[in-house]
This record gives sequence, structure tokens and C-alpha cells, in this order.
Amino acid sequence: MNPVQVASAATTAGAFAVGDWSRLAAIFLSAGLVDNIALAWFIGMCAFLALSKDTRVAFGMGVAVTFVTTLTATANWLVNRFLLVPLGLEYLQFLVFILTIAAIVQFLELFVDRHFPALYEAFGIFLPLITVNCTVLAASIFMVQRQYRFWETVVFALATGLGWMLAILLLAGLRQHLAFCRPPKNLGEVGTALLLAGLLAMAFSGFAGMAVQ
Amino acid sequence: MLTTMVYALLAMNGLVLALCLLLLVSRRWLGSFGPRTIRLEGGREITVQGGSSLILSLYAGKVFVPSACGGRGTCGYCKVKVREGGGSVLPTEQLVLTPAEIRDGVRLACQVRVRRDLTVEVPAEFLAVQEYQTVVEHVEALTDLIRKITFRLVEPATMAFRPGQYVQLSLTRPGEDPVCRGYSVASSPHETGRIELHIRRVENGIMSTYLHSLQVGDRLTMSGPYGEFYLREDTDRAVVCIAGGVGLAPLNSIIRSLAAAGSERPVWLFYGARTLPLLYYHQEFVEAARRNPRFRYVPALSEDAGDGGWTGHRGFITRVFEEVFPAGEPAEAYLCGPPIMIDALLPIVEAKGIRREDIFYDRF
Repeated sequence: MNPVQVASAATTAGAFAVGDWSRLAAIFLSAGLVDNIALAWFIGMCAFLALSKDTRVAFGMGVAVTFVTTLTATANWLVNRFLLVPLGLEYLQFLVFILTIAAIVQFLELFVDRHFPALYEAFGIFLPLITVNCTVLAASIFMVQRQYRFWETVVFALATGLGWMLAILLLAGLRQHLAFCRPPKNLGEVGTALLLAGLLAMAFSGFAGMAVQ
Repeated sequence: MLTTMVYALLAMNGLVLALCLLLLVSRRWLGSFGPRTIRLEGGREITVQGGSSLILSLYAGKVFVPSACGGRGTCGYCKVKVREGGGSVLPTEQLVLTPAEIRDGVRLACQVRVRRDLTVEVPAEFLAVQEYQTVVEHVEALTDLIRKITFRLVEPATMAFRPGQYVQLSLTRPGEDPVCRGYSVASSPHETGRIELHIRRVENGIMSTYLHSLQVGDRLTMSGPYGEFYLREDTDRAVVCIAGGVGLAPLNSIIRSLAAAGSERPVWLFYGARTLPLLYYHQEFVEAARRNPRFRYVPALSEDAGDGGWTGHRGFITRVFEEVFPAGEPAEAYLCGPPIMIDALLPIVEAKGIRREDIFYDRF
């Protein structure tokens, strides 16, 4: 678990090789369903609870998280492989990853706003929220811990984002239907949402049989 | 050891520098939109630096669009029609706007960003809105939760509003987004230079708690007047006011304004609260009804314990209105109270023969 001790397989030759397609597929399924970042790890909870009142908003946030997670994990893989590992600076991973994430999100917001107004209107408003979203950082940390190679990282980050989007869409769908039932009043809105998230997590534990290591 | 530290320093600083440069350069090229023009109906033009929200750009041009949520896109007060250059409707706006409004080009000014030149239709009443510097002149507790605060207008010294309209108070706290809240004016426009508000303290309410802390002599900025809920003055029909609790405020303005103008119109006031101490201004209305035969006052208590000698009506004001008010009298109705009261009242008022377009209401 200690980032210093990881002698990354990603540093060996062939780090950019696609390798085994079935392994990529396994990583995709694993990150999206079995090890779902929201429901198995309970990471990225603030946005998960705050923006899951409406499916359209949840979708926008989901797209934004997927996009940013993929982009930042890829960038962080490159930074890690070509800057931190050669200089023996793996212990700076957290700091460096957070910096690159913040910078990329800022840049992305400006860039998308200017050149892709339609895209910006779909999910741009969620971008500033993502700078501090734990899902994004977790994807970068996990890809180092699990010693993923380049394409494995891309697939893993994409699947992590899609998995988070699936989870928030499910929760938003459930919360919209809360109008038809009467959850214990004293639980409050967030308490009820947490309860629903717990039930979802239990349902997702059914995927555990498909575990891929 | 030393080399590791040097590497670490160089790498970190280099990275931070590179990222800062990237952001600075991209902000320079991508972030500045240059001057943009906002064209208002009637030919007025405002030139602003593009890139910020429409509502802030309008403020820069001294056009005050109301906002209660501080630009988060939830209150829906800042509706304007964007004719050109607004881009498509955002998901945040779709939660607030109706499909008919979206077809009609209505947007939330706090969500639209000024990217291109815009043509905007701002409701005429917003154009009349001004900012006022005021001083607290008098503070009085009406009930344990409701305070009457009277403000003296300093600059400008008078406000032309219609009885029933509201003003907006804004509170700026260091390091936080400004908070804006609307409060109905309870005084009549005839009392020039004074604005009376009835503030009910809301649990954990930022603005109401702050207002309850105000002392005589404190300064406050407000803007106004706002709102479609105001006395229609072009008829001779009876005025029927139905108030629940602190919903009395705008109706108090209407009643006092009619009295000050020496109006001949018959006025009814149905006023409901839970208990007698919460029925503030009760004595004043009893006196007024005694003096003026055209003013009929019907109070009702919904939770009176029966030990205080209350001889008036008991029960919810909706039921009392249904019992007391004669059907078929030509009248307009002004309702102000909690949403549940308004919803219950609307069919009852209509059943008394008052047309839907003659029923005005303000939910809070």
C-alpha cells in the first residue's frame, strides 16, 4: 500500500503495449461493477450524495467525472512514469497528482467553455466541483498501487468513471421515487440517501463472484 | 541524500511552474472574451467584459434583477427573456423553468454567461428597481418570532412602490457568497421615506437571524420594488384580504394604503393565526373596524386553548372564510400565507364567485 515500496511493473519495457485484451476487459468489468468506486469503496461520496436528487444532473456530473478521471489518470500515469519514478520521487505522488488534477480541470473548463459550448452546457458547470472529487484522485492512486500499464490505466480510469456514473444514476433514480414513499422523517434527506446507497452497495456485492485480480 | 532533495525541489517547483504557466497562458487565450454588448428592450445598451454571468453584468449596468438564492439557479426569481446569444438552456435551468417558458426564451440570468453579444428582454418592473441606502429607525417585537423593523430611506429618499410588493435585502459576509432575501413591505406607499418589514425568525435562517440582530441606527442596503402581487387600483370592487400569520405584511400595506387614500371600496380582512399572541395588530384592526364601517375584520384562531376568553372564530382561516364571506359579491381577493393555505383557499375563493384572474396570491 505504501507508494514508496511499489516497484511498478509500469516502469518495465512494454509499458505502452496493449498486451492481453482479456485482461483489459477484466479490468473494465472489475472497475465498473465488482470494485465499483462508489458502491464498493464508498469514494466520491460528497458529489454522490449532493447531486443525486435528479437524474439529469446526475448524468451531467457522471459524464464530467468519467471524462476528468480518464484524462487525469492518463496524465498522472505519464507524470509518474517519466518524472517521479526515474527521479525516485514516488513519495511525492499524492501532491503531484492533486496538482495535475487541479490544473487539468481548470484548463479543461476554460478549453471546453471556449471551443465546445454545447459540451460545456452539458457538463461544464460540474467541472469546478470535480477538482476536489475523491473519485478522480482515487483512480490515479489505484492505478499506481495496482501497477497498471498505460492502456490498462486508460481502461481502468474510464471504467471507474463509468461505474461512478452508473452508481449515481441508480441512486438518483431511486431518490426521485422517494416522493412515492415515506422514509423515516428524522433520517433526513441525506440519511435516506445514505441508506439507499447502502442498499445499492449490498446489491452490488452480488458482483463479488466475478472478482478479477 | 542531497541530490534526492535537490531533485525533489526541482521537480516539484518545475511542475508547479509549468502548470501555472499553462493555466496563465490558457486563461489569456481562452478566458477573455473581450467587451460584449447587452442590448435591452427600448434601445439601452450595456457594455461589459464578457465571461461572467448575465445577472452580474446587468448589475454592473445598474439593472437590478431579483435573486434569492445568490446565483445558484434554484430560486427562479431572475427570469429574463434572452432573444439572442444566450446559447442553449442548461440542466440547472430546466429544473426551474417550465417547458412553456423555455419555448418562450425565458432564461435564468444567473446561469447565462455573457459569451457573445446578447439581446435581452428584462421585465419592465425590474428596470424600475433601484438600490436604496437605509437606516434602521425602529425595532419592535410583534410576537416572540416576528419583529417589525422600520427603515428610513436615505438615498434615494423615497421609493415608489405599489402596496403588496416586496423589497430585497442583501447581506455580504467576508469569504462567502452574498445572501439575498425578499420581504414584503408592510407599510403603505403614503408613508413616504419609510419601509416597514415584518421579519419572522427562521430556525438557522441566515438573513432572518441577522435582521433580528439589527439595532436602531444600523445601515442596510435594499433594492426594490419587486413583485406582481400588488393592489389593483383601477376598480371599485371589494378588496378581500386573507392572511395567515406573518403573511399579513403585504396585506397590511394594502389596507393601510386604501385607508390613507380615503378609498370608498369595501375591505375585508380574514386573518388567521394559531393563538391570540400570534395575531399581531389584532387590536389595531378591531379599532379600525369600529371606526370604519367599510372595513370588516374577521380574525380566527386555530389552536386557541379556550381559556383566554376568545369570542371570535375558531379553526383554520380557510373554513372561516367559507362560512362568513357572502357569495356573489363583486370582489378581488389577495391571499398571503404558507403554500398549503393558498392551495386550500384557491378553490374556496373561486366557489364564492371571484374569478380566477381576480385572485392574487403570494406564497412564502
